[in-house]
Amino acid sequence: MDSIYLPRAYLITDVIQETDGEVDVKTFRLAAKSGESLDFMPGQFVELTVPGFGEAPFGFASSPKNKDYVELSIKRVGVVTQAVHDLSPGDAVWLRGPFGNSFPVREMEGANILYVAGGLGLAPLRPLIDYVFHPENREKYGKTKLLSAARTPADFIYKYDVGRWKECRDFEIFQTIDAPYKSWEGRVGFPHELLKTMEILPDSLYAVVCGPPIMIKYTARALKELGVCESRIITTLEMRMSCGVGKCGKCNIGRRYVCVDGPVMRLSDLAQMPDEY
Amino acid sequence: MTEEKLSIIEALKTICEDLFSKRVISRVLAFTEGEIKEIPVVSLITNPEGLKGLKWDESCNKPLAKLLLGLKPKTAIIARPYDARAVVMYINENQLKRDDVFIIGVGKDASDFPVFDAFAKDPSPLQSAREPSPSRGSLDFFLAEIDRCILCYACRQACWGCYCPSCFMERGIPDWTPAGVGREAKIAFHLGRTMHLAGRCVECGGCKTACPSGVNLKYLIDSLTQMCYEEYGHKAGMEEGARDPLSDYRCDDGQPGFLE
Amino acid sequence: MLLSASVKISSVKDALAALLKDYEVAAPVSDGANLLYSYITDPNDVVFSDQLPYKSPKEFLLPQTEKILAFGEDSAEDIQEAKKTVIFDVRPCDLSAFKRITDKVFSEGKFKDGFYMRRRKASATIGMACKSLKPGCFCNLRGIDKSYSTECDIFLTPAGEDEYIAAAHTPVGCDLLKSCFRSVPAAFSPEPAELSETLEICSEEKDVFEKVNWDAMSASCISCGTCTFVCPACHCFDFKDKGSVRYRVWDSCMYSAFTLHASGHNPRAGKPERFRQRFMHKYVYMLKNIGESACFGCGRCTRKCPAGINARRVLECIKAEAAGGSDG
Repeated sequence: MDSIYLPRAYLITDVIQETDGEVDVKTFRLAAKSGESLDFMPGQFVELTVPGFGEAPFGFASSPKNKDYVELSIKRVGVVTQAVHDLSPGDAVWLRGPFGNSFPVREMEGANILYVAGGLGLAPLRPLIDYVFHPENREKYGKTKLLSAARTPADFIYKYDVGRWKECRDFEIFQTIDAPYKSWEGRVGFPHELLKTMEILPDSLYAVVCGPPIMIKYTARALKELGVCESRIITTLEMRMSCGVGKCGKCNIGRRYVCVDGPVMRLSDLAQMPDEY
Repeated sequence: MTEEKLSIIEALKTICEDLFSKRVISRVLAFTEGEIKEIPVVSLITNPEGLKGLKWDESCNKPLAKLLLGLKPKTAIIARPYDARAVVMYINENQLKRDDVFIIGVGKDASDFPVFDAFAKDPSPLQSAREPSPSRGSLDFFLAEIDRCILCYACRQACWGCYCPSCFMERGIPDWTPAGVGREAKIAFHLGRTMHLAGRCVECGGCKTACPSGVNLKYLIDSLTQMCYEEYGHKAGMEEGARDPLSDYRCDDGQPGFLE
Repeated sequence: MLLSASVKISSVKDALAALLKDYEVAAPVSDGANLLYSYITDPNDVVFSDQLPYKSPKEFLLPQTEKILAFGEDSAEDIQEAKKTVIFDVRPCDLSAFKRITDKVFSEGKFKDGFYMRRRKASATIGMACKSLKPGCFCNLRGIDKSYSTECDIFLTPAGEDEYIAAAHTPVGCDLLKSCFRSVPAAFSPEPAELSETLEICSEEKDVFEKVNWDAMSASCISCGTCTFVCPACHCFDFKDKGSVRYRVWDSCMYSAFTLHASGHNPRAGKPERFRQRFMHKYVYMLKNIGESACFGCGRCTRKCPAGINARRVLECIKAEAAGGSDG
């Protein structure tokens, strides 16, 4: 049976310890045992299984242009994530997907892009950042800025990407931590506060905000105040889900299912939805 | 409804109206008449008007006291002896403050109630949904009941003793539950629940009356209740300030096991 | 209708015996305490009555627990066992729940649920007229004609003292009727039922969400989930893995763990939110998403609710409060 529920076997080819702070995040590089590639768009997610422990959804964290492997960045927090964290290169996991909608990359062409990431929120943005930076696409988009926030310096993920990204044309990166920290000489403060000190030209801007719900709420409000149109403030949502395909009944916010109508949502969509996320 | 029951209802109404008018309570937790004769409605009555539909007959055998948890300010409960015992148990387990509940006992004899604030006499008190317990060790009976269980957890939700915010059956780490709803899962659930209720059961029979399949596994808990009484002289909810044997460890006790 | 015939009531047990040769047969039986649908081995165990079994027959299409996958070395294998099944004595309310809710949810749209569809395809339904509304029933307010349905393979309507008129609505139904039932062709033109005005919620989602006093509405609910278990239209599920086997199991929106994130965050942490979810999913979201409220008035939730919550009353209250002023 060609089943939406049938996962495919992947091998872990690399494990990168991302953080050594309060949160424990690892990035897993996965290649299909069959050798086939997994085609997805930025913003989509997969269901990952560790047999015996269960299945959970994770957003893609690698460039969709990379056909050799996919990467998932996973925070150790529950049963499945603990089980994944216990695995090493050479071990197998199972994926099914891709599921969900994606960032409106077509519509965003010609515009400037502001990425705002809170902690692990940088993970779902990374496919988009790399998609935009891809030589095939770079010309289609304007200037890009990344405002990346973390609790402490140790909690930033993809530290090794910063050098690579900085070499890209028309890109600026701003990093900030929540509270002063020994040895940290960079910015301190929450994204919604720092936005006010940044040069934001709201008219030709798409703002893509990913992170904890509370950070999304504050940042979106600040962006609105700066004049960014609600339909061009975009985020991704996380909900508990089992099936990933709109059947199991868990991830709905009002009548919309995060797994099929999301996870990418515009602030203008969220304004129409009940506040139950 | 019989004359006798009607007069009890009148007595209850008078008590409650008085409490409302003196602003002693803000609501009454009781059974009221529903559209379906056999199915009484559990209601939180918030004004004297609402007392009209008060119901008191054999069908009023579903659990009530658990709904007191988290209710403030003062709520009156139309209580049978076991409701009063549940209140005492909640007070002893720091789940409820005595001042937040007004107990209106209904029963044959006020001495059946460990605590009460008002009392209405019911010469022929309602039977609790108790059935003769099968003999201990009847595996066939046990498995027949297990097979009828649909693992919906209604018994747990109805039970006064089961108020954990997250049940051991739903904990991921460690995962206690065999997958599915086969015998193993049901046995793990019911035996686990039974052990958690050792010395904490107020013998209301709610687990049985709430069960959509009519499963009766209360006798398992009954045997622990009996054992706790024989070994420790303890019965749940009989005395304010008492601690149940599971949470009252003493170095000098004989430490008899629950399982023989 | 493809075929209609008269069938002696006394011959139905013989028909069930004939069906048992090729099919699993699920039918109402008594377990001593309750009437419930169960697989039978002996037609004499079947209880013929006007009562509704206390659980719906959905478990034969979406079992409460079912092995679906086995993880091997390099591939996951589909291990579902879907045997050919005849579900006997299904009432119009349940037939509509299958046809209009679970069929739509699982078999239509971009993603198709092969496990449900395989069972559905392997199943035949023999419907039966309900003679009376049972306490708690309100199918008449939910657009259901209790005496007749076409949403099945064969429908049996009592005709006179000792016979049914069997109406076959599908080719499968025709085959079964011809091969397993001793029947005599008979004309049949069911009279269209007079239905009451449909009770449904017409208000906007946001109004229902915000205006209804869900705290008061759910005050006596004990979050037991019994309503979802006995309901023919509730279909939420979870996956559970043990060793190398994946199970699909029923889940219930009435449990707090249903939406609990691994992080501890819970978007529907409280009883009022979960109660709201159940009623809004049934009567608002489904109506909007698939054009049909997921309730056919079978009354099972009302009959089995330990707190005596009456679904029809709740529905009426929601409708009134959502349409009313902004106090709530």
